[in-house]
Amino acid sequence: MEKIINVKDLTKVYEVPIKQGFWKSIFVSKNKELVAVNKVGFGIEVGESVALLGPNGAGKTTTLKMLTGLLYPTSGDIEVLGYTPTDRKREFLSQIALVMGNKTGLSWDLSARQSFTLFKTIYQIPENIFEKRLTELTELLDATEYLDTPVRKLSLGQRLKMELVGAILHRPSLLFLDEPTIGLDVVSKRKIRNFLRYLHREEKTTIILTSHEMADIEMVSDRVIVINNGQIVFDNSLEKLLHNYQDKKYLTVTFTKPVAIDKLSKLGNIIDSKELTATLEIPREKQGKVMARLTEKFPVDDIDVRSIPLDEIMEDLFAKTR
Amino acid sequence: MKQSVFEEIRIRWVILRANALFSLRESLAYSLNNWGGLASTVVYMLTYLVFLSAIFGKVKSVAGYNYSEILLFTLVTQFNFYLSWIWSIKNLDRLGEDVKSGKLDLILTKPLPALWYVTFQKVDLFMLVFEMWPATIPLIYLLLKNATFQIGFRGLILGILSFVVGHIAIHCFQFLLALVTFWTGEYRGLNGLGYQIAIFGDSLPLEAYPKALMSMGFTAVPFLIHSGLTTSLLLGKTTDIRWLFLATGVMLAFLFIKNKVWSLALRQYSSASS
Repeated sequence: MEKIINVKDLTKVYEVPIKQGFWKSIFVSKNKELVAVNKVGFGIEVGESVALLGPNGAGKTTTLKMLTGLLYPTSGDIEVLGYTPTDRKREFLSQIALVMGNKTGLSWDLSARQSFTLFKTIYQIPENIFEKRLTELTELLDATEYLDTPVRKLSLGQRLKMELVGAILHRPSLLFLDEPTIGLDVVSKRKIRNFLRYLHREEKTTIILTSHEMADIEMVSDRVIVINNGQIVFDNSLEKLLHNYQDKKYLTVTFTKPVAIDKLSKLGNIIDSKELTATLEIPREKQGKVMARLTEKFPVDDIDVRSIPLDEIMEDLFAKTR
Repeated sequence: MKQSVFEEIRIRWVILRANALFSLRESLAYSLNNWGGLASTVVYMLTYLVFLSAIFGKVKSVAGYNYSEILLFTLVTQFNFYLSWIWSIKNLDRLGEDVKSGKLDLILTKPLPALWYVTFQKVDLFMLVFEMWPATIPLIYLLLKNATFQIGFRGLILGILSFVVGHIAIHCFQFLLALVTFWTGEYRGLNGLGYQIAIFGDSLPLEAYPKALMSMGFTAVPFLIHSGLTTSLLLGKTTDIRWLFLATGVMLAFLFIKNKVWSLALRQYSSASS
């Protein structure tokens, strides 16, 4: 497969001013170096959907911004779509799009449709194609009805849908998303995730995503790059990451009447219990045996089997690589 | 996919038109602000005209300019003032805000010549049509009524050239001040300073300034070209064309520096996250 992104030894060091007295800071200001990204290297192929994960300050957004040409690397090489991003060539910028959950590219005082008209000019989209594309995207996102509402009157979810529409009107081959579902309600999140999945599957858009929402990753991304302290600590498929943690299972058991917790604890580690429910953590290989014992010895109404949640996997991975 | 120069110009023109229309729609979203703006500039103009008539009731001339010549000078300064607000000052403020908030990200990732785009992002046609002309009508009326001078063809051409050259030069100077925001994240004070320096040259005719200030006002801080030199050329008080050549050289130097410092500023851009 053709590589769309090639990154080698990528490093970004920020100069951060050291807090000093007023006069000192004016005449002899001192800075300290903060390594945000440290000799990172990876390649991304055409059509992949990749999540950049990491705790706050890990370096994922800095990496994303270097990939889009917003930040100049301190050292290392980046090639995106065959271009050096910071050269900001029109041919390069015409093929990418950036959506940031906490920033708006739409005019606050005008309707989204009016902003899109400006984008149409910037991306030189022919009128008939523009109209067709706009209808298609707004229908997919259930956003047609507020296309003509001033952006300042839209809810966060509605505005973010419009941001997405505006970003991909020109059919970018590479879409960068920085926390695209931040602050959204459950319904809006799901709609946006489905939409991103559609873009990836149907339009073959390569997606690079950063998010703290594990559900975003599970629904949108096939591959995960985990960054911690400016370095890559995991780079593989989501399945591989989940597989690494599949030595445990969680059984959430619902009983028909209250049970003795001390008896239950003999079957596994109890991580949560209420009057008629309890969650047990057990080794994967004991799953069958434990379920049989449960139904045999306890008044079981229902058993729900879960793998370790992605959130906990991440927490563990961040802790191990701190 | 390299575009020809003509294609590049065509694209910029189309985007400029779209931006102007876009800015007009933004202005129309706040009608009360617009009427307030018009009222304040009309009040300012009337107050200033009363002030001028009071001064010229006592003296015959200021720096060799009689009442009608001062009215012409005032008209030039007013055109400069409005032109600055129509495209320059608002864009500098927006640039400062966008750098500070990181919103510049969304411009830098679009296929646009970024420096050109941030220079012309807002072109306030509303101000041009609904503020500039109504507010200057009393001044134009008084000027026509009291005109005691004649503007020759040569003076007119040189004056227009000086107006354009001076306007670009002072804009570049203000833009350089605004670029400091890429290093400091602060812009309001410096933008205010740039604005005050620009209108410093609008307070008195060119001939009123001492030689040292004139040297500075034509070179390092080009505040004497857009109004001072322009009016002097229009009235034929300055006939030496070398002043205009000097002004053009300064403008070109400032355009060059603007480009270079912009490239440095982008390297410094930290793209605030939220």
